[in-house]
Amino acid sequence: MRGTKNDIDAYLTALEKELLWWKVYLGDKPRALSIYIGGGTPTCLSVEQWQRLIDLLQRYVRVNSDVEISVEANPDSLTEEHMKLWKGWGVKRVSLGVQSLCDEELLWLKRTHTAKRALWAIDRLLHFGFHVSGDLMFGLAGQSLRKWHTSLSNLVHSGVTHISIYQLSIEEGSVWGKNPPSGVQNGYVHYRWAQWYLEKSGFSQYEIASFSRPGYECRHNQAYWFEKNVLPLGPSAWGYIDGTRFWNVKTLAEYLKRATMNISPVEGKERLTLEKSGRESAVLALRTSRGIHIPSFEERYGEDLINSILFEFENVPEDCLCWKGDFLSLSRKGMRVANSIWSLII
Amino acid sequence: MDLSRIRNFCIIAHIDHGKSTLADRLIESTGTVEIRKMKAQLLDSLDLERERGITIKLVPVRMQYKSKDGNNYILNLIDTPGHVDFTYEVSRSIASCEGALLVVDASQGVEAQTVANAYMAVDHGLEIIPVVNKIDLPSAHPEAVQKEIEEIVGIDATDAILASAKEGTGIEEILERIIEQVPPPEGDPNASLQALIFDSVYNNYRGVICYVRVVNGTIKAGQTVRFMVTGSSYQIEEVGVFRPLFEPVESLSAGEVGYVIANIKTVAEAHVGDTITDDERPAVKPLAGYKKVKPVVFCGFYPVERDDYPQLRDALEKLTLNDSSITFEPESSEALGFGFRCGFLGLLHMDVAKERLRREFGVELVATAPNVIYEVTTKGKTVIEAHRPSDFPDISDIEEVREPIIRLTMFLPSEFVGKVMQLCQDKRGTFVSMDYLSPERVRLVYDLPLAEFILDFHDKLKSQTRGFASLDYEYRELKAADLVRVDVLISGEAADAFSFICHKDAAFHRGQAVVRKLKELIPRQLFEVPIQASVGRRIIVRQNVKALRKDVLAKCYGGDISRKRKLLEKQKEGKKRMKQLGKVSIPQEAFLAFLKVDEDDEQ
Repeated sequence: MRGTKNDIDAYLTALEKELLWWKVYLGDKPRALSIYIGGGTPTCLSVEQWQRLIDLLQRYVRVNSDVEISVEANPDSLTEEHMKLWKGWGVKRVSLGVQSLCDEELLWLKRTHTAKRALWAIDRLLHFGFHVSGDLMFGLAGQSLRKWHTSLSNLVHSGVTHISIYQLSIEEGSVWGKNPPSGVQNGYVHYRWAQWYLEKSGFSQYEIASFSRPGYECRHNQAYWFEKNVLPLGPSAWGYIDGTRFWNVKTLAEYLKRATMNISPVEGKERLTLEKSGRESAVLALRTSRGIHIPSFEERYGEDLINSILFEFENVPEDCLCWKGDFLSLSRKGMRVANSIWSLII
Repeated sequence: MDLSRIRNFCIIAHIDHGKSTLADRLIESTGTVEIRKMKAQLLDSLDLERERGITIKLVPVRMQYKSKDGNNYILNLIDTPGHVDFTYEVSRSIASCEGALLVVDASQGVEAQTVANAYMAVDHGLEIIPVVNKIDLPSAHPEAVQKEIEEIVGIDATDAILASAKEGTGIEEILERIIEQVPPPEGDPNASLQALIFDSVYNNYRGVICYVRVVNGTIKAGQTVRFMVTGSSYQIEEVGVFRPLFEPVESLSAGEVGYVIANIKTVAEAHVGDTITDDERPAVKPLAGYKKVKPVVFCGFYPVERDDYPQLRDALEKLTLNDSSITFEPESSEALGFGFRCGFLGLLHMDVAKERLRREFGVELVATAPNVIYEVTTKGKTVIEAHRPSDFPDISDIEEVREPIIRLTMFLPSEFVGKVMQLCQDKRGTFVSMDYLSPERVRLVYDLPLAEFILDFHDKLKSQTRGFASLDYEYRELKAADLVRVDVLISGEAADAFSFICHKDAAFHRGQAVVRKLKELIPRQLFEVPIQASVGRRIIVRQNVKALRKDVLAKCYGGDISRKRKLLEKQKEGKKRMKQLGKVSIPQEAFLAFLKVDEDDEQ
């Protein structure tokens, strides 16, 4: 989100309207187990705007004492002032867009920070007592396994307790989609190495793209994978409430316009049939190392659906699956080819 | 009609030697069609014929000509196709004529087919008038061509007519010489009716129209006639002549060429080669008919959209009304669904049929690679006609396999002899003869398996001789050969659609080509997929499609969920369109590509 100071003030005003709107819709203030402030928001806001955002959330959202508040941040725009403010409010996790700890890769990705700046940010965040998560990308052009390992091991040694890794994916229609860069890799070796190395370093893979030290899993993300209710706030946010998925208008301009006209920013919603949402739920659960809890899945979606899904798994090599009691999950190998497995059961 | 005032003739020429243009000039100068109505190449009435510059169907036309001797004559020109696939059409028009113009291009010289067709005409006792055409071209050397006609065809060409159909040179002389040299038809107008059907076409409004040459007697509207082969009787509705459009006349009598309409529903009832006679006063015996042509090249036609199967069937039925040499029967393919196995007289014939189905009937279709019919004798001495690989019995039960052999005559510049001989050897050809027609031109004759010929021989010959070779072939015999069926196994399961027949010595290379192609086209799956080619139980080639190692990996939060689901659903749809063979998904492209496998893939 980019905007002038006035835009951001207007945005905060609109956000308040949205919160009010939800209060009416839900009949009460929402109660949150976790709050996630992501996208461009965290680093665009000035300190006083942050204060206003915090006030808003405190006014309209009830929270438990152990609420998990996460903030997403970029290394280059992060300041100690932000950190102080967040700490004061009770932010527990900060997810830092490290991307790489090799300067040439950062340059290639057109990121404005350096490895040094990212390590500095981690160091300061840890100093303030946050749980820090770092994002890394693989499959970049010219990214040798050695370079990838440099980023990985330096991140592990920086003291973060959570690591997300994901592959460079080029969107159709983007600049790179039209002119694909050369040397982009399939990423098999990178991902496999990460699975092995992070596990060995005390990070367990609790989801396809997420590794953490024990007890440091991101509660908020798990809400997505286990179909917990999520309230969407702000432009282009998505939510899920009691089986219905909501999404907001995509642009800030449209978001602000709707607020001035007193129209809800919800652009659309979707309610899947029981079967479709069952299949989607199975796919999402299979992102995690916990996997599908067969008895509760069967209770919720019926015997036919679970049987049909298990039948499809007949065509999946055994070593891609992992049974633990009533839970069915993907093995490390299965996670590497998860798309193909999911496409069987979706 | 006075028989002595009738001349029936045809034109024999190689493709592009100017036959159609010459016919147009003749029609024009006899005033048969007004000049303002002339379209270029009038006789090639199918769009396709005009476009490709070839004649497929024979088209008769009747002209009136006032000769220098002061008499009026009727000239019936029966146009003939120039391509080897349509030799049977040529033979039919030859049988209804007394003379032929042998047209040779003044710069190209005599080509393989010219010779074959000229021999056929001589064989039928036709008077042959040599015409050296295109003498206006700078590269023309008519004397040399005259000499070639004498030496290669073996007919006297000293008084060959030098003509340029394009510029109208020699047209008058041709007409005069036809009157002079072509004998008038013989026959008795008062004898019992005998009319030979030399072609029949289906017309949406008129039903079947028979093209006839009346040999004896007279035929007229209202008459009850009998078709001697089928034994059925019909009442004649209309008789007429070709000008070149249908023009009714009162009667057609001995020596004349024209058409007959008699409320006949299907072309099958009007056999080409049948004799029409009077029902009350039948002739003693029918005229000598034609040998029924048998298709030699087969391929599958499938609709592009599976739901279009009925349209394809209708179109084929209509097409065969006009071209009874095409055969078709239903078949089904794993990859392509329901379609038809069709038989043709040659590759061009197949191509033309496909094109006509598309243009005239609007059917989009997929054609499988052509193949021939094999004859298999089993150990139990049963003889099987194998139209497709699956008709082959188990290898252990085969006593002998016989394949069709053609005798191939090629005319080519002598510098290419080495290359072409090599090509023929590669194609399992047996050398028959070679002779120098002139220091620069060679006639090369080989016996070649038809299966090898239809694979890609023509293209290869053209590219190796830079288009300077011409060829003609005739069907010879079925000959025993060491042929085997190569099967393809995917993940241990036999995939019928990929089986093929080939010579034992080529099995490895061809098997490898197919296996390699499949390896390219079968996407990686969750497990390794072995692809094998086998002869009987012996595996001759094996390659593996390695198991998929990794998909693209992405984070998935909030909004990504719907998008991700849609992507997966799309992926699933894509998979549904693939053919499942056991656990393996095989994309449509693999089947389609196989249908086009050629030897270039072997490298």
